[in-house]
Amino acid sequence: MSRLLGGVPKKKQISWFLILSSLSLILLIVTFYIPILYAIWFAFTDYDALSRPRFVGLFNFQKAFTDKVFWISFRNTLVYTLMVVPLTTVISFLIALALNENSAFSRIMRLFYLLPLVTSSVAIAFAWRWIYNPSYGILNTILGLFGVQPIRWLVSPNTALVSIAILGIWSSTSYYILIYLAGLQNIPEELYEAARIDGASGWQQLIHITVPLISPTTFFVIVTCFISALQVFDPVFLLTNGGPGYSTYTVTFYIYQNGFVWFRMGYGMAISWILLGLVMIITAVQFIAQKRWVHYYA
Amino acid sequence: MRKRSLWKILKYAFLSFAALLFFLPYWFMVVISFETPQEASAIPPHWLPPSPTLRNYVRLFTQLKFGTYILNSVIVTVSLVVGQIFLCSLCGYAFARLYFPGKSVLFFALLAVLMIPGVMLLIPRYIVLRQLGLTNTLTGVIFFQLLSVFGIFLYRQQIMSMPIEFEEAAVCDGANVIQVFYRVVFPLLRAVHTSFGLLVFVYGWNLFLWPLIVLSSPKKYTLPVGLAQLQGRYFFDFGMMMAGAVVATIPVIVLLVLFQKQIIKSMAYSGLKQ
Repeated sequence: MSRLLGGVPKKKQISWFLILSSLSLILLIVTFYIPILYAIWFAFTDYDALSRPRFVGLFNFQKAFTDKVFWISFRNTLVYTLMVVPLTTVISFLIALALNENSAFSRIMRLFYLLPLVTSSVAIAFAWRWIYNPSYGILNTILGLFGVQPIRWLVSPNTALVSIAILGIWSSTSYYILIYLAGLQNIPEELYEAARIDGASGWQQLIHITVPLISPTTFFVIVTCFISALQVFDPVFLLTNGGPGYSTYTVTFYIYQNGFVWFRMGYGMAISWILLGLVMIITAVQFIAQKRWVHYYA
Repeated sequence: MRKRSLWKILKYAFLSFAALLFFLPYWFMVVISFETPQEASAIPPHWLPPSPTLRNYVRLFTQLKFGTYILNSVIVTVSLVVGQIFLCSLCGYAFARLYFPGKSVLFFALLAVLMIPGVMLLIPRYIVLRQLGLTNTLTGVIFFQLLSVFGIFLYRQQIMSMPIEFEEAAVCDGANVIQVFYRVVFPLLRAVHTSFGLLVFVYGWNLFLWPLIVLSSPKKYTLPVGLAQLQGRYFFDFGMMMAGAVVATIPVIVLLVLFQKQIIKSMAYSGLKQ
């Protein structure tokens, strides 16, 4: 804890504190805490954005459990997450590992890898809509060189979710490369020197030094990647609009549809509480499981 | 030694291949933006536009309101950058240096909202927005994005790691707290302003879901929202879509090239993406 500002009496500090923080605290209440209270209240009502909300008890939650589309969205979200999280983690680790050197080549390469991180999700979606175009998109053109028949990426219910996941991996890898690069720089160089003196090969250094010592970063990557993958919305909304059929409905997309397309806001909020519950359970499990595999270097 | 150089070649090949995967979509985005619909649907796609034309860009600004969208996006982005730097540094200073009973509880109440997934707030925030009469206004877009808990946390940490003696000297010279803040502390935080400001710029410029919900008339659209409308109107005209995407991407790419170091540092430090 750092020292308080000397020379200003406590009473005055209290009023200055209020003056400096008042705007932020008002925003905290109006844009966070009041909406959260609404989210609690409206989840138990049939609010439709027009008429007065009517208390319906647990009806919205019961409805969700028998709602086929909700379960489809739920399953799609889990499938998407289980495709994106492991691949994003492994690929971003490998790229960061290769990039982790102080050369001009590496610095220029980093620019390319950072592109998706700063690009609007709409622009990214447009580029990928073209990449995935069944007749003249680049992906089928390249696959065609190897004799692969054209694949109807976003248009076929069998491949649409996979296509969204590939895009998800491509765009989130960018961020996690950065995180891994920062983590790799924190591993003390002496450890590698000591290992080399003991005759450890590059592979042994990777397995016995880098992988265990980077595990706190890996833990951060997995936790945050889970949280964001479970909330995937932009590519679904922009590329498939949930379709074909319900094949790319995700929970967040279903919340949006309920709230802003069908105006079933009470139901939408009940589903967002279920999503929050899911996110919290998965995160809690990860925090418990980390004791088994995360090594903190002291 | 030979094994090591082979390893190095493999590594560079892997890096170049992966970089290509990241770069190619952008390359084709630019190429197609200079093509006519016929050229854009050529099989195989062109690596360079055969007869470059500005037709798509001209149509963005004449047939569509891209000028307005850009202006709206600039308003939102600049307000967020200026507003967040101002609010977060003020509030961060209060939490770092001033006495307040129950300050740590208050700080926890602030940090607690970091755990709430954005989608939870979507519908209830819209209801508050409507009660405040801010639907379909840029003010509504800005107001609900103005508080950055991450920013307050960042500034508090930075201020706490600064020597307090300059501030106390200023107090001795008769300055009040607000004078101490903006004459002594604010200028010393310049590096934080730059890296935090860059983050907020990228965030505000690309903000999509919230303005999509708030704004309903094309006059008010920000660039990402206006851009998204292209795919409804020009479904098979990839030239138009890519030209719009290029316009939306140029400012952030310029920033990335100019401030690569700061962006890397501050992005790695935050949890901003998404």
